Amino acid sequence: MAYEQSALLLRKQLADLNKNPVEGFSAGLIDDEDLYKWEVVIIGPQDTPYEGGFFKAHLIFPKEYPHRPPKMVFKSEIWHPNIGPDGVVCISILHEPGDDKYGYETASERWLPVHTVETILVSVISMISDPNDESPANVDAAKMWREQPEDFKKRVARCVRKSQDDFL
Amino acid sequence: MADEESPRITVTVKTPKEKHDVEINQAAGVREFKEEVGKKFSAPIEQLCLIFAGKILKDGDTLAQHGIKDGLTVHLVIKSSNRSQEQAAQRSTTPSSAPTTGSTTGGGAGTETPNLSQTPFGLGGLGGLAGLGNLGMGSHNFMEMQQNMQREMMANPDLMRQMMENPFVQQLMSNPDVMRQMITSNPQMRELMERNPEISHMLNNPELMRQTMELARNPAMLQELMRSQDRAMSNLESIPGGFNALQRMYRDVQEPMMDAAFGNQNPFASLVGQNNSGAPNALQGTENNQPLPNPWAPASTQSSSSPSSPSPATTTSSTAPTSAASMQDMFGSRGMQSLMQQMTQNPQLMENMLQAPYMQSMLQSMSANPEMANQIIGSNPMFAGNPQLQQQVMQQLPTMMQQLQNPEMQALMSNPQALNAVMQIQQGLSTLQSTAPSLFPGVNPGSLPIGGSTPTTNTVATTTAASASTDTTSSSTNSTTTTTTATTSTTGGTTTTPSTAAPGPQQNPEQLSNLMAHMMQLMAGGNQNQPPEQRYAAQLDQLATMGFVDREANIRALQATLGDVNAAIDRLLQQR
Repeated sequence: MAYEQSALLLRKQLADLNKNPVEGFSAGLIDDEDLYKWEVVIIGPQDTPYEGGFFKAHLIFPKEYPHRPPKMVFKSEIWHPNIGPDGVVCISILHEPGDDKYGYETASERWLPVHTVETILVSVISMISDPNDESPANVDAAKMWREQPEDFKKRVARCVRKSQDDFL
Repeated sequence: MADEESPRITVTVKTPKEKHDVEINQAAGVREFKEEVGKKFSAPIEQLCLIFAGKILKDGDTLAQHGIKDGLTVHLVIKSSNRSQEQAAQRSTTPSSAPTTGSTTGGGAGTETPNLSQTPFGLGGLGGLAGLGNLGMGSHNFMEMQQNMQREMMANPDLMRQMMENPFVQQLMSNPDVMRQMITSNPQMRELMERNPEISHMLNNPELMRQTMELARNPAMLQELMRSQDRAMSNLESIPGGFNALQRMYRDVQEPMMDAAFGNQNPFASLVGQNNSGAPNALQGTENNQPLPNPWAPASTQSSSSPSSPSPATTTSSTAPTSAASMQDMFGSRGMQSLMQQMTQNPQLMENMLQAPYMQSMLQSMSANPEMANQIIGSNPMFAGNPQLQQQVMQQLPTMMQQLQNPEMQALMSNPQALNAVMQIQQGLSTLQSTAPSLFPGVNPGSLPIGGSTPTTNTVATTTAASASTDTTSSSTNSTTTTTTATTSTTGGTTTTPSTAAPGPQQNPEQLSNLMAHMMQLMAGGNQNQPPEQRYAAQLDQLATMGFVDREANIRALQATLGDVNAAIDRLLQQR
């Protein structure tokens, strides 16, 4: 039952996104047969160091979706305080639902069943343009972002160039 | 051939900025598709990157392979070539270079067209108010126009220099009171002053202000100053401890100034930038001594306000008639008529103008300080040869200003019916003038110039005319006592004279004396020789109502700030 619900939901979202694409990203399936594995390309937001880059990422949904959050992993190299060196995105809305055991985030900031691929990606894009160095997933990137903004920009520019080369 | 085999599909291609529909053969390859897209977006194919359903479309793929069907949307990213990327980086890191390039192009335009009528402001546009409308005065907000103006100025330092050459503007600049008012009414400047008290002191120094203005006006002088400053700097550096002092100075003064200049797009920034960059500009390095083409000349009766608009004072003060224009010119002038027409058609515009904060404060200072208005008039070349006229205008000015400030008057100005009436009076007069010139015995077209129907003159004229209709007796008695004065005085009040002259020639001598007394009082009120408590009576009242009860301190503050209430408040608060 739950299985069907998640498949239905994801299929609907895919159809919606193909028909009315949202600004800033493009989403599809890695394998047309598997609705639970999505492939997205995030277009580097304008007026940020990431402008001009296209960053590939995978969204892996659990069968319990929408009651549990998907995982998001960047496949392209991306230098960002909230994206781990392994590409895992650290954003509160993708954290398992319920109150944080450390009292760090409230339940409303964490996963909610109302989130869709679109709302997740919009949040991620917003996070990319406005990093949160309170809870960094990439401590080195966070430090550089805070203390050596010029170096940080250069490092990001390298990722942007690399992401462009990857696709050609 | 392929067209016949497979149907055409329309795919929407969008970038973050634009969106186009691209028609393509469904069986086409990505390469083919990119060529089409490249045409639509006018970008080289190598820079295109198409993304669909989370995948980048590679040149070797086909559209069908990615499931791209009719009506779907494909994302497009136009990559910047490495070179343009570098340029972009440069642009973002050195914002100062941007105004420079802007100014070179703008400056070039300026050198080609020193004639004001061809400036981007559209000064030469037909009909004064139409020109003003182009300037943005017709828009909701006067401030918006101000911004436009600043932008234009920045893009065109030559124009700015020309503006500074204008005797009006110079006169204005040399009056510290006005300067301060202008500066403090600019929010950017105010912010700067608040953040850096040192700069505020600098701006309060009239001598320094004058020098700065002189510099902005004269590029040769600016360069000279920079050179001598360099030399002085190196001398200073060789003194023990001098370097530290320099450093401190830089930190305290120059940095905030530069910040403000570049961050806030100060119009002067482009001036300096241009001189530094040595951009090709025919006028650069040569002194521009040519005065502005006289916007009030009879030939161009239209549109005068723009070069001086940051200081509406010039507009209000320009009640100047042109020296050789005759009575006929005034009433018959096309400019005047079209202006009147526009005013009736667009009361909103007048209202906007009158309600603009700059205008208000200008009017206030003008009425509080007739001396200043007199100076402005005195400096007007058009008056120079005609002391008699000058005197008359000066006499009229305080009342006029008073009337302009009168809210009732402002309401009138925005009342189309009232404006219509004024227009009718004016038209009637022009007919009268042409059919029965003998009716105006005192007017000798050559020696007693009347005319100069600039928009602003008309503004004032109408106001006075309108006021004449509100308190007819006072102005009509004034004018009827001596027909000559009445007809020669420039304000529109006189236009009503002939029509209202008959009913009450000497009916109200009392009112006449009242009026005269009023005028005398007004003129005395602004006299610089008056004790400060009288000179700043209005400001003192204002301070008192704000709760500053120490009258002595208030007077001192007002004296120190030359009557600027806001600055005085700053001072008073700092003292506490």
